[in-house]
Amino acid sequence: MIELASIFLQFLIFLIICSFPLSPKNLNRFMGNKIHVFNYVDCHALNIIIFLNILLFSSFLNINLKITFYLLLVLSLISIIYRRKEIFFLINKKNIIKFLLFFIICISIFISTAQVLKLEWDGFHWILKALNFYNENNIQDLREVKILPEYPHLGGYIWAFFWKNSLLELEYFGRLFYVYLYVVSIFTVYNLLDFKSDKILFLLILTTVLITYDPYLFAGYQEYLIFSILLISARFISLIDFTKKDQKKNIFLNLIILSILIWFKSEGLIYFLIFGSLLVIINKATLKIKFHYFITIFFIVLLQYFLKQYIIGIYESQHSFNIKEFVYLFNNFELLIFKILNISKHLIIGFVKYPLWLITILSLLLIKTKNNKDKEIIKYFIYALVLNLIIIYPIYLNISSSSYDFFLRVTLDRLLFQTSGFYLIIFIYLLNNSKLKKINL
Amino acid sequence: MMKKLISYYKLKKVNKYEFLFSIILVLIILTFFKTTYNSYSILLSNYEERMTQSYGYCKNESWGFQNHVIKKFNLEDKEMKIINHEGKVLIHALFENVKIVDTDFRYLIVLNFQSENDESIYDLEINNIKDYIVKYRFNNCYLLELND
Repeated sequence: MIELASIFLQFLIFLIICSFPLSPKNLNRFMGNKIHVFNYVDCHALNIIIFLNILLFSSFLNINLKITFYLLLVLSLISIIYRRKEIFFLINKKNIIKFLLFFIICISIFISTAQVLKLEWDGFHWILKALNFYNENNIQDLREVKILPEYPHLGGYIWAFFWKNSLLELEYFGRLFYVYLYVVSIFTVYNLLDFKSDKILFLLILTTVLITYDPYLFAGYQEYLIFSILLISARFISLIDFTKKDQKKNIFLNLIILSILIWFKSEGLIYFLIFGSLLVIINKATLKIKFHYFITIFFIVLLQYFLKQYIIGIYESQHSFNIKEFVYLFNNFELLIFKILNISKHLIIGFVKYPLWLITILSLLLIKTKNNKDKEIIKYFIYALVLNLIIIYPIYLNISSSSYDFFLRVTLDRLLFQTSGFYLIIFIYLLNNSKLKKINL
Repeated sequence: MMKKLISYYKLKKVNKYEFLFSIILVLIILTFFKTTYNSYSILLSNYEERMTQSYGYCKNESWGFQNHVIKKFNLEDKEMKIINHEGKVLIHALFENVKIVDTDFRYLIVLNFQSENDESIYDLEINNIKDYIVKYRFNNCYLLELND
């Protein structure tokens, strides 16, 4: 009974901590919106991004996990008390049902995680990073982690943070935050749905959860962190008006959101560079402003390098360019074609395994947008999709012929899963432009 | 106060159709995630029992055996080596304060020892295996200690 109560308490802690510091009122004011573009779900998602950045900062300063936790908890509670009137205004029928749906989905996945405690293969690598922080070691001690010490540490830090700061201090409580972030991200992206009927919204949210939920990946893998951040990012990218020049705040906001990816997994850096640069390129801003954006992207990458190299003391890219393999492949044209076909085959297998991809492909075939703003956004996501799929080929061609088949079988599907949520936006645009929009169930 | 609030926001106006829709939605979630069964299981078995169910006592990753000997013989902070003879992944990371070393270990835990005919644990291909004595055994899982 105590364990179940602790799970409920953990949900409450997530809810409180992620309610600070932004509220719809101050966020809309900050972004200069005359109408309420951002609602409380958007704020919750952005608060999570801020929270993750605070954790990142605190990890480099080697601040005790409990101190950071209590400080954030107290600040969040004070903020909630201060904004109590604003919160009372949120209590209406639609919001209550939405919250109950959110609560039931979260608690159900929490309880499922608590029942099936087994970590899967990669989970035993990532837990070593979590253990480093859980045992109150410094960030520099990551160098001593036996397996893949050079991998980014933020996922492990979050795991350790909530593992340490849970009532029972059980391992899986750390992983519950991954679940929470995942559910919040799905609710966030559906803020874009412009339907009269709430019931369709709830059905779509539930369907998305049902087709993207994979307990295997919640067993210590970091894939859901990238998946969720990309979902949140897709929602905020949809607010950018690519036809206008002055979109500074929105572009910087999205660069901040995307930058957190580089601290979860090595491929996060590639996603940040592709999706971030594309934001800048498609934008109608002047060359001078675009230059500022690129400097920001470059600065974020450089900052990660310096922090890892000089504070942690280890920097090694997992995606180093293997020129020998490429030269060998171009001298063996048949092998090159064979490898390309094999990668394509595994891409198709991945699409079938994660049906969100099939929905995206189908949506791409059917979508017709009327206004220019929507057209530009869809254009952005199509370019991102094409680049995302193209980049997969050199990554796997770069792996030596002896081991690439093994890597294709065990990693490509997960690589596809990570970004599958990012393109869900195309499906939502398809729905918004369909006649279904007017149905009022 | 609460009554006022409810009537103010017209929460009472939930029609039968909406109520039925919500119930169906909740039932789908509870069924898909097996929430009721999982809750029952958590109520019935504690964390250690569920860990043993997940990883096995003396099979697969053998969490149950490792947990038992670490507690029984106070092996926290003692230098040890763990071998899973069946080739399963090592899960020592799940135990706090366990010191794993490759050489000069005082304790050796052998899990799921695979043997044929009259092979014994001392036939294991480890340099100084004969210097160790069996301190505890459960089926094919062994705890050995260096015999000083």
